[in-house]
Amino acid sequence: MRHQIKVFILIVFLLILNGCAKKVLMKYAETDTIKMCEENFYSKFYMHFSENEKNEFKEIKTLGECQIFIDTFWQKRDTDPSTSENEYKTLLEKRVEDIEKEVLFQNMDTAGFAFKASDGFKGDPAKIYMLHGAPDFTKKIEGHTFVNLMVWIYGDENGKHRYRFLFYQKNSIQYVIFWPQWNGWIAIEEISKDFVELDAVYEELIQNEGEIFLISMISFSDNSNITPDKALKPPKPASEIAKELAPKIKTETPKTEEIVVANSFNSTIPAEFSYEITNDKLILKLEIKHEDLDWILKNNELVSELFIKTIVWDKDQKHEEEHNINIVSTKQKITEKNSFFFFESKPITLESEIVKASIYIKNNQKYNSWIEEIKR
Amino acid sequence: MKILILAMFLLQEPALLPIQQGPNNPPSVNGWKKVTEIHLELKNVIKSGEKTMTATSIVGSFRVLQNPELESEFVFMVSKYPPLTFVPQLLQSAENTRDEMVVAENYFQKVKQEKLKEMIKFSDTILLIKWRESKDLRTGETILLGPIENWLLNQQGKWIFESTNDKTIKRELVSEEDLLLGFKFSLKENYHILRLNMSHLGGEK
Repeated sequence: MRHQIKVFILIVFLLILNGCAKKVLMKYAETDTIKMCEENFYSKFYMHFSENEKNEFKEIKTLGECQIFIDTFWQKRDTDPSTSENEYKTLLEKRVEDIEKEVLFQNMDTAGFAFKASDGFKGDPAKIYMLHGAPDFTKKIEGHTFVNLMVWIYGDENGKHRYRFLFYQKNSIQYVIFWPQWNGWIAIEEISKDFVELDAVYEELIQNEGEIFLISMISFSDNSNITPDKALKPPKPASEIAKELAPKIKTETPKTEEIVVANSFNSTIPAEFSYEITNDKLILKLEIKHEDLDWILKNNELVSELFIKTIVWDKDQKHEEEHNINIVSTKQKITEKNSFFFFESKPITLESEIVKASIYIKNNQKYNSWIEEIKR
Repeated sequence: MKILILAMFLLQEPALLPIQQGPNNPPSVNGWKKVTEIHLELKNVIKSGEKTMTATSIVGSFRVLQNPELESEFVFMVSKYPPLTFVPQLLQSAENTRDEMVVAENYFQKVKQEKLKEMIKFSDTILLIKWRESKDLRTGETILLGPIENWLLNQQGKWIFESTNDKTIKRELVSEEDLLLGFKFSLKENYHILRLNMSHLGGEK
């Protein structure tokens, strides 16, 4: 009986253990949804999930919801929206394929290394590979005085080391990441085998051209701003980067819907410019036909919003004026051929014989501009 | 080479806006084949606090069109549309990788093309130059056949016409203080300016 109880407890314990090993992220999903989403998708691409996406993912219940999630996930990460191909999806799927095909196993510098032996997609090497792809430089070393080591280096645009990932073989089975230590001797102690002098470890590494392993034990990157934490963060989706980095676009917003009466042009306000000089005083003049402006209805009145900017450069002086004018009219007046709006600048006392004048007018998205040399 | 670089700004076939009819008005070129289209761009370095950045403004475009019924006949057409200015974000460039910059540029190009398409709906033709050319049978060089016909929309909204044997239309860059403002197209004493809106540049000069 006691034996039967012991067996029962052992079975219950094993069942609990088994349950823990197959930890399910999607709490409310059906079995086939878990298979498609969690086992086939999340388990491979989880390093690219943001915290929000993880939370969203946990709530998925159906296959349909899962498909929408996956489509959005890729769409947000498309690096070039003008092409039909999703380049980022292709890139990550290639990384999955590389891991599954054990591309590093037959690589001269990493011969014998298998992702599968290092916990597959859950292991540190696969995590790094999924985040950063194939390293630019790899090296593996088997030591007598230290555990097996492997280093992956990713370069930057200037040929410097952006990331140095050092892995050590734990329990002679799987490679796990080694985080750099400030103190080199502590680092060496961590990778040394039992009952070995630290000097001997150092010597063996130097003799086997293992300087790169020594550097990687104490420093993660040539750029001091890059920390292992940053290197393990999921990369920002392309659409988010674009939002942050894209230039701001500034333009006129045509009030097409508000316009009741429009002139016959799309971007031009026809107008007559002239000037008058009396007793050394310059006055800039504009004459605009009402029919050459755009009109909106405001409190039962037809209003044209006109912006005028004038600048006169005279010797070292700059005379600048800006006016926002609301011209009020009637439909009948607007259609009359000889109904005008007149503008005159404030008189400017001239000092030079020749001055330069710039006039800019804007109405809705339409504008006109003059640049004139005015002789006294 | 210059044409090749500028041709990167080629658009996807927006419809040509008809030119208004009048006594001096240029002929309709609807249905003519587009040979090339180039946007009239200006770049200005602007200051914002301690940082400087280059803003790009587009004030119009020019096209070369070919008469499909008479292949030796061409027009050079300038369109004016409401100016667009692209002001870059202030970046901590060390933080952003080249890949991120490429991604941002890819997305920006798409938005830029969409915005330009939108603006072209509000364009006016302000200049048209029509000519015919043929090949010199002896040298193989392209030569001008007959006069050049020039039409310019002046600032009063009237078309000015001039038939000449040489290039008559002048194009000048217009600047105000340290800023490139736009382009001035002149036909004798008449001119038309395509320019940016200074307020779009923001920042301090």
